[in-house]
Amino acid sequence: MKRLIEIKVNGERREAVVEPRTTLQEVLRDQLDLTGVKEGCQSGECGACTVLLEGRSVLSCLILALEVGERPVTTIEGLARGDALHPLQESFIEHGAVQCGYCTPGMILSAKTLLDQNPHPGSGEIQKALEGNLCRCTGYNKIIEAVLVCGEEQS
Amino acid sequence: MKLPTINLHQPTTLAEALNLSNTLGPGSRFLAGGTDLLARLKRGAAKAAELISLVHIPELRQIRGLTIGGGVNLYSLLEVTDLHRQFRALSQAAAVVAGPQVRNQGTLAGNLCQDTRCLFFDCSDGLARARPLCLKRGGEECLAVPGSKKCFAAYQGDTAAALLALGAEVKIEHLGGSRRLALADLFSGYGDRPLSLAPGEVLTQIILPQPQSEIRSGYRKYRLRGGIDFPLAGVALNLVPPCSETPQGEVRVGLTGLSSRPQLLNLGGKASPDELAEAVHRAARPVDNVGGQARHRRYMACQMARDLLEELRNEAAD
Repeated sequence: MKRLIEIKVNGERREAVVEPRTTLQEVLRDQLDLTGVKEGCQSGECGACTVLLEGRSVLSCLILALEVGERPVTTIEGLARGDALHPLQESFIEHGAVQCGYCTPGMILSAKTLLDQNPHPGSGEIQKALEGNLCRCTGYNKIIEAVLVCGEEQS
Repeated sequence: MKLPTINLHQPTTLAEALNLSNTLGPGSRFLAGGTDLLARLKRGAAKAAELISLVHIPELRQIRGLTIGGGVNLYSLLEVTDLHRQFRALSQAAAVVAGPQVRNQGTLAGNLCQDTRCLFFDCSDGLARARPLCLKRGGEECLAVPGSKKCFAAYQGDTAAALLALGAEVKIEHLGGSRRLALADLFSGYGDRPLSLAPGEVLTQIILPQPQSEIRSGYRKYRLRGGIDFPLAGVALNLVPPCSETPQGEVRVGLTGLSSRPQLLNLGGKASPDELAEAVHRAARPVDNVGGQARHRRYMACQMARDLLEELRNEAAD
């Protein structure tokens, strides 16, 4: 049976109509047009669908939309302030940490979870924080560098 | 990959959840973090028409002293003050479960109660149906050990090995009652139905033992990649200091990834690294069903146990 729900996403309350089996990822992409949430493996192995739930990275393909309740969701679309990109987004561009771009939203949101808790991480800590996000293009070095420099610049 | 059609129930108290489970019967499953169950439902490697969510039950997320609510997620567990100092094996095991997103979602009880895995069972529905079905999917024989009528799917939970070595207990609740048992008794040893839980039972608490000042423990994991992967072999050790009952102390060993259940071995406190490796070698019976070669997984278990014992003893001597 379909139900009308409200989700707090990127600071706004949005309405969606969902079935019990609808995942958070399906709602965000298909109903709310937040297509920065990528569809990857659909089984919790690649991290492309990563969003923030109460500020922490989660896999939106393995969360039922009905389970979100009042908890705030942040997608990559919620990071920029108007035309001003988030420092992590700027750093990814500056360091060439984006190739095909499919993993990038998830990478940036996982990196944000790390920087919010540990503003100046070392490369080992960054590697550990991003291990749930797979990239098939870059070889990871530029991604780690982008997060490392962003952390250093915030100091 | 969409989920099959389900009904979702969202009780806010444990009593309500247990009542629902009783009413809905064996076709229902409890849903916690969802990282194991929802992925399996998508792949057709689990069936459930009715899901009873445990996410909205605050009592399951509480930590009181040494009692950890089953719904505490692994990230929150790792934030517990003194966990690393007093129960290092658990903190090391929880820290290497999957990746950060899964640790943010997945719960401790869910990690313990995860289903067993096997390349022939835990694959996409299409792949599973492209060949004869394995035993666990309803076929005639095990495909990992051809001819066998026994399922060899491997239990690959990290925290189970650590909690076994540490001597944890669990509380199981059902409508109208509860029981408390040693963690080892939670597991049946059968690959196709790895838990000893009856329909309607739910793991609500994990009870850690009183920490002793000299307890030294640790966990080592062998996997193909440094992140995300399940353990192809996992070893937890706990050096229990001498007491009146065991004047020489004990080496408690938890193994995972090497059989259809996590295993507990008890050795005397003066066991040498070679004796420990020999005991692990005898106990580990992996088959080629979860990636990596079985003989190499067994070898790595022995090696990790030996290294960890030496490391913990050196630390004790410092």
